[in-house]
Amino acid sequence: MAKNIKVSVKELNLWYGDKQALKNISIDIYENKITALIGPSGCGKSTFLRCINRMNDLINNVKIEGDILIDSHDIYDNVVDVVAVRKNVGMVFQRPNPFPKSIYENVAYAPRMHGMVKKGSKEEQELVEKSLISAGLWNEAKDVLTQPGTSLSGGQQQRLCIARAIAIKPKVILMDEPTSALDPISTEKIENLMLSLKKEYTIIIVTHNMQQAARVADMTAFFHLGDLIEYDKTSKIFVEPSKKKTEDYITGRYG
Amino acid sequence: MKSKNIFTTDKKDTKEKFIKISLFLSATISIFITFGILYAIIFEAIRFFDMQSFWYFITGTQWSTEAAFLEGAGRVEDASGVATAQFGSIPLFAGTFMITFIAMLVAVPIGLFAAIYLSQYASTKTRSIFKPMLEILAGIPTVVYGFFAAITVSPLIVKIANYFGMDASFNNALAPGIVMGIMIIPVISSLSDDVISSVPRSMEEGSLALGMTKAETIKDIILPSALPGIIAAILLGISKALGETMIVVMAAGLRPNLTWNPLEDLTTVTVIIVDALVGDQAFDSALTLSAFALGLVLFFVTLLINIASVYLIKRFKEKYKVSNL
Amino acid sequence: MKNENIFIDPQLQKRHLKSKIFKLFAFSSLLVACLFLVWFLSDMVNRAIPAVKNNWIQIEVTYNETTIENPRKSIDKKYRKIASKAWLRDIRFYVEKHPELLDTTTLTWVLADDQVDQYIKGHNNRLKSKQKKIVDNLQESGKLESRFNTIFFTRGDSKHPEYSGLLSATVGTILTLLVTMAFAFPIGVMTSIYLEEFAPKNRFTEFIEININNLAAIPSILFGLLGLAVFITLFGMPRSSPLVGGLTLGLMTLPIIIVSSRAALRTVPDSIREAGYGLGLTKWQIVKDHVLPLAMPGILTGSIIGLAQAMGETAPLIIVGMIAFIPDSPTSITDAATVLPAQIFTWAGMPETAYIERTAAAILVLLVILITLNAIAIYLRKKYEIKW
Repeated sequence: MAKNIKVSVKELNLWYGDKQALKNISIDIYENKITALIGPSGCGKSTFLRCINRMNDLINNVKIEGDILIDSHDIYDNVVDVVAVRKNVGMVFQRPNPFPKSIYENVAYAPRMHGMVKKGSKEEQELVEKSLISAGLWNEAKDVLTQPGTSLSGGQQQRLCIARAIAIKPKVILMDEPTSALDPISTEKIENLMLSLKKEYTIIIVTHNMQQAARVADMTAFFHLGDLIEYDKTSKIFVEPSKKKTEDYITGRYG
Repeated sequence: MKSKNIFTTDKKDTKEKFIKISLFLSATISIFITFGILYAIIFEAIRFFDMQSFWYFITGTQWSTEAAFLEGAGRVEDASGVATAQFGSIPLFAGTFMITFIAMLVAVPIGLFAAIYLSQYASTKTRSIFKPMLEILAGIPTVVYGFFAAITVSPLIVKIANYFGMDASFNNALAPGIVMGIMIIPVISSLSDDVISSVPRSMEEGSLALGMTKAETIKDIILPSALPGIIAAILLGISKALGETMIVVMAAGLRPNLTWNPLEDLTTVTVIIVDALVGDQAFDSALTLSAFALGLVLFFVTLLINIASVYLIKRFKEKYKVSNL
Repeated sequence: MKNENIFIDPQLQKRHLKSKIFKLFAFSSLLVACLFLVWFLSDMVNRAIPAVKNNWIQIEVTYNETTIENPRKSIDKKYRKIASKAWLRDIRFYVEKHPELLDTTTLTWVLADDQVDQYIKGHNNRLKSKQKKIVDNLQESGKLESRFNTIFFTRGDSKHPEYSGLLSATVGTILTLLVTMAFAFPIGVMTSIYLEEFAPKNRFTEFIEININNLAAIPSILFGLLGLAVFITLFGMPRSSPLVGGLTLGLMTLPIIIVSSRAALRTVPDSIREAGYGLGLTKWQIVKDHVLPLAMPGILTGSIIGLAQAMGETAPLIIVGMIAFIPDSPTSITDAATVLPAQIFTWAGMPETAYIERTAAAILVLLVILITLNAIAIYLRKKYEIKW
C-alpha cells in the first residue's frame, strides 16, 4: 500500500516573542491516514497543528520559519493567499463552536461564501445533507435543520462542527482535542466518525488522551517541549517506543 | 468563682449594631429618592388630570397653552380673548421622536462602526489615542452642545438648505438632532466595544479557520453574536435622547408642530416641561402641572427602555459567561 | 501533470477587496467622530478668542457728588453711547479708591460699551456712523486700548455684556457642589459599604440595587421636577439657592458614587478581611481600619468623576430656579445663586452679540475645569492602583 505524503513539514521553527515553542520540526503526514499528535501540556502539539492552517498568523509577536507543503505547495510562500490555505484545511476545535445560525446555515455558510454552491440551490441542499451524513448527524438533524446550531447537545454540536469542516471539501482536517469536552458516548461516536472519514480525508488530531490515540490513529507523533521526539506507526510507539522520553510519557512517568 | 467568659463582649456589640443600622438607613435613602420622584411626578400629574382630560392629553394633537399661561399668571381677563388651552401631547412626542430619530441616525452607524474598528482592528496604540477622544465627547456638558447647535450648526443647516432652494427655520429639528447624535456616539460605541470584545474568540476562530475574511467574520458571525448587547446599547442611546433637555431647549423651537419636515421648527416634551416651569405662573396652574404629566410619561417610557436594555445585557452575559460588562 | 497551486486563488480578490473596504469604512467612522470633536473645539476656541480682550477709551470724567449720584452726567454727552454705563455706575468705588480725584475732571480710562467693543472686533454692532467716527477718532489719537479682559473673572453677571463676568456663577458653583458632595459623598459611601460588606443577600437588598441602577438612568430633568415639588414646594426651601440645587444634584450624583465606591471596595481582596476576622476584629473595625483605607483612592476617583458630571448639569437646576440674574456672588447656601453651566445657558439666550464670545469663553473655562477634574481622577487611579 503506497503511502502518499499529504503534508510535508520541513524544519519548522516558531517563536512567541523570545520564547521558542517549536524547534526544527520535520515530519511527513500521510494521505488518508489519521495522525495523532501527543505529548504533555505545553509541548507544542496544538501550536504545531495551528501552523498547518496558519492560524498562528493571527497572534501578535509570532515568528515562523520553515516550510509546510500541502500537496507539494508551500503554504508559507509569499505569494500564497492565507484565506485560500484555510479554505482548503478544515479545523475542529476543542470546545464546539457552532455559528449563531441554524444547523443548515452552519454547514452551508462557508461553501456558499466560497462560491461552491449558490444560496438555496439544490446543490447546496445536497451538500448540507451529504456533510451531515458523513458527520453522522443527519438522522438527528434532518427534521430540525432550521433550529439554531446551539440547540444541539455538546456531542451533536461537535459533529455539526465536523460537518461544517467537511462541507468545504478540505485537503486536510485538523482536530484540536475534539472530544476532551465531551462525554464518553459522544467521544465514541466521534472516534468512529474519524475512522470512517479517513477514507476520504487526511486527519491530524491533537489529543492528550493516549488511549484515544491508540484507538484511532495510524501514525503517532510524540512532542516534548517543542521538539518532535518520535514519529512512527501507532502500534510501534505504544508497544516498543525507541526513545526513552516517549517510553516515560507512555508509561505515565509524567503527564 | 466562675471565670469570666472571654468569648463575649458587650460594649462592642451595641456600637456595631448602631453602625450597621446607620449604614442600612443610608442605603434606604436611594429608595426614598425613587419614591420621591414618583411621588412628585405622580401626585402633581394627578392634579393635572383632575383639571384636564387624560384622554385628550394622550391623543390630542393640539398643544396651545396661551390661555392657561395667562390664567396661571393671574391675567384671567386677558385669557378670555384667547382660545381655550389645549393639552394634547401628540405634537410634543412627535417632536421628541423626530429629533431622537435623527440623533440615532447619526449615532448608531458612527458609534457601531467606530466600536467595530476599536475592538477588531485597532492596535493598542491606536486605541489609546482614539478611545479617550470618544470619552471626551461623552464628557461635554449638554448645555455646551446646545450652544454649539444653536450658534454654529443651525445657521449652517439653514445655509445648506437655502443653497438647495429650500426653506429652513433657525430652530430647525435637524441641528439639535445631529448634535444630540454626536453626544450619543460614545454611549453606543463604548458599550458596543465592550460587547463585541466579549464575543468568545472561539467563534471568531471557527469562522477564520474555514477561510472567511475578517470582514465576513465580523459581519456574519461576530456582530450577530453581539446583537443583544448592541441593541441594548442602542436602547440606552434612545433613552438618553428622549430625556435630553438642554440641546433642544437651546436649538429647537417652542412651537408644537406635528410635521415630517425636519427643516421646520418644532418642539419637544422636555422643552415644554422647562417652558411650563420657568414662567411666573402659580404652581397650581394647569400649565405648571402639565409639566409633571409630561414628566410622568417620560419617566415611564425611559424606565421601560432601560429595563429592556438591562435585560438584554444580562442575557448576553449569561450566554457568553462574561464578567466584565 | 502540473499540480495547480490551489493556495493562490484569484477568485478571492473580490472578497479581499470587500474586507479592505469594510475596514476602511469602520476607520472612517472613527475618524468622523473625532472630526466632530475637532470641529466643535476649534469652533468654540475661535468664538472665545475675542473675549480675551476688551476695549477701553480715555476720556474726561468729572468726579463730584452730582456725578456720583448720576453717573450719566460724569462724561461728555457725545460719549454717552460709547462709554460703558455699567462701569460708570461704579465710579463711586473708583473715587473711594482714588480720593484725590474728587472734585476734579480727569482723563480716565473708561471701559467701552459693548457695541464699541464689537465694532472694534469687527462684529455686528448697532453703532451709528456718527458714533463710529468718534470711536475712530479715539483710536487714531491713541485714546483707545485693548486690554486683557480681567472683568470676565472679577465680576459677576450684568445686564451689560462688557461688564459681565463669571465670578458670581463660580462662587455659586462652588457652594452648590459643596452641598452636593456633603450630601452625596457620605451617603454614597455608607450605602456602598452597607451593600458590599454588610447586606444579606435577600430580596430587599436586590430591590435597593435595582433602585440604584434605575436612578442612574433617569433623565436629569426629572430630578429637577423632584427638586421643585419636594424641596421647594413641600419643604419650603428657598428657590434658586445652592441648597436646593446642591441637594438636587446630590440625588443625581448618588448612584455614580455608590457604583464606583462598590467597585473600589470589591477590589480589596478578601484575604484582608479574613485576616481581620482571624484577629478577632468586628466587621466594622475591619471595614473602617483596613478595607476602607485601601479602597479610598478608588472611592475618591469615582467621587471626582461624579463631581465633574454634576458640574455640567443644567436642566434640573433650571427647573429649581438657578437661572436667575445674579450680579453679586452669593454668600451662603440659601442665597439666590447661579452656576457656571446655567450662566452659559443664560448668556447664550441673550440678544447682544457681545455675549457670544463670552459664552464661548465661559464654555472653555468649564471644559478646562472638567478636564482638570478628570485628569486628577485618572492620575489618582493610576498612582494608587495596587496590584494585588
